[in-house]
Order: sequence, then structure tokens, then C-alpha cells
Amino acid sequence: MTLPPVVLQILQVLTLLVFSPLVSGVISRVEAMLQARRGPSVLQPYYDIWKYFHKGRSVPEGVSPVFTLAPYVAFACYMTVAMLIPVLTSFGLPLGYMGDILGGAFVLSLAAFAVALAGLDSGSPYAGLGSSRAMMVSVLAEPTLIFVFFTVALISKTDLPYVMGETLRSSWGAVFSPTHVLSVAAFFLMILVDTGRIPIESHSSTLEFGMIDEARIFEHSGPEMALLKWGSAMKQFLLYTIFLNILVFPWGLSHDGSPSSVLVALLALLAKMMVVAAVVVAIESSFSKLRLFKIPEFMGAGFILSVLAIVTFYLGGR
Amino acid sequence: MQQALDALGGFSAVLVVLMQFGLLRSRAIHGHAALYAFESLFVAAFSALAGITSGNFELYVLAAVTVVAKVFVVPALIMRFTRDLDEHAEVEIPLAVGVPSSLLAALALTGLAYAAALRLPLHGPLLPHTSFALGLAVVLIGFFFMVTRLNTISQLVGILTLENGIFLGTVAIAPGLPLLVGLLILFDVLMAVLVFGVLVRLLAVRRATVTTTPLKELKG
Repeated sequence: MTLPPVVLQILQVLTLLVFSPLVSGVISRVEAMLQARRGPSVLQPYYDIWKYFHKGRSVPEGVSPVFTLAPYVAFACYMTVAMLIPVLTSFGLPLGYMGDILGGAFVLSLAAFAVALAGLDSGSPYAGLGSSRAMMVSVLAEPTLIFVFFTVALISKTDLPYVMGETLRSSWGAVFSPTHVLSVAAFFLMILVDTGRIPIESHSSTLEFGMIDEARIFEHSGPEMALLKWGSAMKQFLLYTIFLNILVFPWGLSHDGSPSSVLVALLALLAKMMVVAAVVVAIESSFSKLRLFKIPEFMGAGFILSVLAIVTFYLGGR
Repeated sequence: MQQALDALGGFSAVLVVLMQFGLLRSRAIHGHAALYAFESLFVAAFSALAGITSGNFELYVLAAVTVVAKVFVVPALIMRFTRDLDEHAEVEIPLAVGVPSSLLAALALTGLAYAAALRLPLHGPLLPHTSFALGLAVVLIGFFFMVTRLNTISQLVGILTLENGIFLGTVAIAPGLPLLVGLLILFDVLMAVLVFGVLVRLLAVRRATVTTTPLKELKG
């Protein structure tokens, strides 16, 4: 028995919706344990989202509809990306081909754009500061991401995420090739940047001056805050999924769409996520936050990795 | 299997170049020493992988000697220099060229190394072009590092990385080089460390600094 593609498609989005807060919860719990604290329950992000949904909303005076709409737009964007990438299946689903890897990146940046716009619209100095900083950081991250996508496209001769995973599965030489490893390293640095992790921003800090991504949502409240919090967990989950199921370890996905193989794929995905989460925790606990003006140096490191990947591809053994 | 070995060899060669890039970013002596140790470790890994591929026993010996000498002994010696000079050692090494421009220059040098290596009619049994080109890139970046870092210990590390680059290139194009030659190159490294040690002491005692700027002054 195999599940119809439409059901699989919906399951992919549901996986994202249901499990994304769990990954955030596990990261903060393990981090707390490493610091010899007991830490919040791994379910804390779910409690937070639940609480925000039941709170009233207050909107700053004189804001435009952009402020209210932005969280919904961002949330919808994240759900769209989950349809484009291989979350559970190794074969393309009906809507999987409506956008390539660049399309997914555009949808993700649309979400970031909407949230940043809402931050500016609120008129609060801190939210505006967060928005403009987030834009600066994403401008610096863009060249690296584009080069990583180029590398992916060069290796797999296409820009479809499903095919990239297939290319890796087909040969160990491709997995260990310098080009591939370098672009994976560059993409990992950019994940740290995009999920607001330590060398760039401390995730759970309440100090306004060090905030980038977190500061943008200062003025939101109630259900919209819940959507934004949920959205940022979803963004993290999506980036980890892209990292794992396309770039690093595309094994364990369902090949035939039978319920048992989908269940295995789900468990495998969560297990792989835990490994990435462990690496992220290790980085968060052993480095300190960079000064704002040192961020370009960090981005430069990522850029060099991605350029070297391309140079190695063109001029050497792949 | 062979494919994976080739890829791993190329990967360790790329890691060597990355350590060289890291060196350009590092601004403290202990960072230099650690990066040099890691770079040497990856050079040794490359040599050992070349040994597996070519079935040449001497390459294992070279890898082992490299680990002992360049991963442990030389970095320890460098750290000893700095401990002796503690009160003189500058906290941040003065740079003639800033970090971002250095990195861009190093990228350009890597491109140059690739372009040059591809035009040479060299064919080794092991990933000929990439690894040789990367060895050349390490040499060029090492020169750049020595020219732009105004500190004797940085310059010592720079000259040591030149040797790493040469070793990488040699193993890539001539994995069958006699053991004696490899050991002689290693001996050179130890001599360089000793000579630089004397130079560092001299500067520290005479000038109370380890930067090379005072060397520009005319003596008369």
C-alpha cells in the first residue's frame, strides 16, 4: 500500500508544523544542561506558542496593515517551502517541481522581507534597528548562499533539490569531494547566521543591543507573536532539512511512499536533526558572540569556502 | 573505494589551504601555532592517503615523522618562544594589510596557483592538478603572509607553511620521492625554527620588541 502523493505532500507540511518547535526546545534544553542548569522542558516552545495564541493583541498607534499582515505572509512562505524540498520522500511530489532551489530561497527571503518591513512599520526604534541589522546581515550572506546554490547546480547538473539528493546517494566520491564538503561548510555557516545562532547573535538573550532577528518582532503580540515565534522555529527546521536531506545526508528518505517507510523517514529526519542540534549546541557553548563589526569577517570566511568550492570544481578533480 | 580515497585526499589538501586562510585571519601567536599544527596534521593525512593509494611504505613513515615533528614539536617550540618573551610579545600582531583585503588577495593567489598549475604538463598518480595547485597556493599565501605580518614569529610560521606547501606539492606529483629527501626537508624546518629562535631573542633583547619594523632603520 502506498500513500497518494497529495497525502504525502500534506504530511511534509504537517511534519514541519508539528516538529519544528521541538527542535528549538531540544536545543535550548541541551544547552541549559551543558551550562549545569536544569533548563526549560523540551516542550516549552509549544507552551509559549499556545500562550501567545490566547493573549490579546495590541497594535502600536498609526501602523499600516503591513504590520498585521506580515506574520501571516511569513508563516505562509515557510509552509510553501516545505512543499518544494524533500522532507520525507526521495521522489518529487506533485507540487515539488513548482520551484527549484532558487525559488525556495526567494520564498524564504520574501518571509524575511515581510517581517523586516513590519519591524520598520512599527515605528519602534528597537524593532527598526533589528530590521536594518537583519537586512545588513542577509546582504552579506547572499553571495555565499548564491555560490552554494551554484555549486549544487554544478554538481547535480540541475537546480532541483530532489535531484541533488539523488546525485549524492549515487556515489561516495561525490559525498567526499572537496567541492561538496566546502559548499556544505559554507552553507552551515550561513545556517548559523540565518537562524540567529551564536557567532552572530545569542538566541535567548534579552539584551536589546545584541539582538538582530529577535528585535524585529518586539512590537508584535498575541496570535501574531505566536505565528512569528512558530515561524522562526519553522525556518530553522526548514534550513536544517535542506542541509540534511539535500546537502549532507540524503539517506533514510521514503522511496515508495508506503506508510511504514514514511514513518521511518520521519524518525530518521528527527534523529538527523538531533545530530545537527548537538553540533549547534557545541558551537553555541564554545564560542562567544561576535562584535557587530566583526560579522563581515565571519561572512568573508563563508564566502571564501564557497568560492574555493567553485574554483575546485572548475579547475580540479571534482 | 578508490574514488572515495581520491576525494578524501583532495579534501585534506583543501583543508590545508583553508588552514592557510585561517592563518591570515588569526591575530595572535597561539592561534598561529594551533593553525600550523592542524595544517601539518592535514598534510600528514594527505601523505598517508597517498601511501594507501600508491602502496608506497615510505609515505607512511613521512606522515608519521610529520605528525611528531610538525604537529607537536615545532608548535611547542613556537609557544616556548612566546612564553620567554611574554612581556615583549604584542597582544595583536601588527598587519601591513588588513584581514578582509588579505583574504581577498589570498583568494586571487589561489586562482593564480590553479591557473599556473593547469598549464604545467604534470601528471601524478594522485589527483594531479588539484593537489599540486593547492600546494602552490599554500606557498603563495605563505609568502604573502610573511610579507604582510610584521612580527618575527608570524614570519617564522609563514616560512614553515611554505615547507608544508612544498611537501604537499611534492607528494602530489612525485609520491615515490626517496625517504631521505623528505627527511632532509623536515630537518630544514627544525633549522629554520632554530635560526628564527635566535633572531627573535636578538630582537627582543636589543629592541624590546618582536616586530620587524626596527630592522628597517639604517645602522651606521
